[in-house]
Amino acid sequence: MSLLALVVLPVSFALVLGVLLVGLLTGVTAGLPRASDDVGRAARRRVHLATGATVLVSMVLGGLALRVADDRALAVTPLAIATLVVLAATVLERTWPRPSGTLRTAGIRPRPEPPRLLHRLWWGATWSLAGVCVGGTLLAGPDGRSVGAEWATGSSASSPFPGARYAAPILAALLLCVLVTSWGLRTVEHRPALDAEHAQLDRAARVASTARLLRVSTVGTLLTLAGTAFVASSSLRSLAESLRNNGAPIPGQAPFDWRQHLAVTLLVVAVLALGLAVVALVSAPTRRDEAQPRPRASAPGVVAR
Amino acid sequence: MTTLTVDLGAAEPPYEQLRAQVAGHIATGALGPGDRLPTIRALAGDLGVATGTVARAYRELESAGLVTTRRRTGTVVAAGVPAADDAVRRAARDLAGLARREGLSEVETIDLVRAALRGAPGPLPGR
Repeated sequence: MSLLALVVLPVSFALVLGVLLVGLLTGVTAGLPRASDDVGRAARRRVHLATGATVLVSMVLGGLALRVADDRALAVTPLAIATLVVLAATVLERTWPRPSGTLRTAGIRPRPEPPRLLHRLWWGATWSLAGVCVGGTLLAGPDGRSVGAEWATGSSASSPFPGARYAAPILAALLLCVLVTSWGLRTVEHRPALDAEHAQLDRAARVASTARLLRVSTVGTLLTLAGTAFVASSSLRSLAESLRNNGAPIPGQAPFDWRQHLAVTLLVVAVLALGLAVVALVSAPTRRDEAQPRPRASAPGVVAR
Repeated sequence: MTTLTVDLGAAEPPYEQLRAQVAGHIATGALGPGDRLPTIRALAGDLGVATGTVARAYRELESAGLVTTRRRTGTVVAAGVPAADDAVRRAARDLAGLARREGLSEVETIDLVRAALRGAPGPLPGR
């Protein structure tokens, strides 16, 4: 089994465990206001159902991922799981009740902003992974799966390395994940609101839904980034050592050449990505004061009927 | 919470109902300068009406100078739109309460106000 597989397999497990943690420990639904009537209880049930479904789908897909043997398929497994989980959560979002009857009422408040930290983490992880993939493709050898160097008297190569062979499917999976997540976020934003009496519950449920989608997508992307950066780092370090041992004429060799520097940087990126994945899992969807409606000085108007 | 209500069975088209209510909220001060309105799609989804209905209401409000729409900020209540005078606002609230207690419908109440406005001394304001 390749090094990539050895890295990505635990990464898949980590994703499953991470989503479980989201539901069980950080309490995505913990901020939901209590409800005493049917509408509120139904809304709370719906949020709990979505969280449960997210955990269940993650577990099933994580279990199936263990049977994947192909190294390229394994490389995209965390992103594929994240995409499918986001897809399932989005489909559930579309089942919220739609307005009916001739008399319809809606609040005039704009939708809550998406959780800022998660949103930034998601975009940061996406661009970082894309950057590592593009960089890997540029550095890799013609086979797209190794990195090497040649000099007058010899050559050396190290693999696996995230060249085009791995970067292309990862980038395709990343694009798909971004598209599905964006669709999910738009679905959450545009789903019909509960009535004015349940405005606070509606707001909390919407923030929880947005956080759920962003969490899953961010964790999938960060774990792929960690795996990819770690594999690239290992190959570069191995290549640099090999060059030194063979006495290759590398400019600026002592004590490290640029490959060694890059390997260390990528290792830091991998560790940082894992740390940020944990942050994405445990961060609160929003600050408590942001979840509360902003009070206005003036009294609301009355629509006489 | 400030709300908008649309009666799909009413003779008045839904976009006009929305326009009138948002304008009313601005006049009463329930919506102040800089307050953001929901996006067209979000409000259309909440009310179960076509996006074109909300878009037309917003367009009319923009034409009247009550709201402005920008790509980054969305639709916000325009600066410099004065809320109605306190005394007028209080009188409107009193009238609304009285009409509700007397069982008058919204249309009947507004017809009464229109008639009173036309019969009142002094020139009609342009707005």
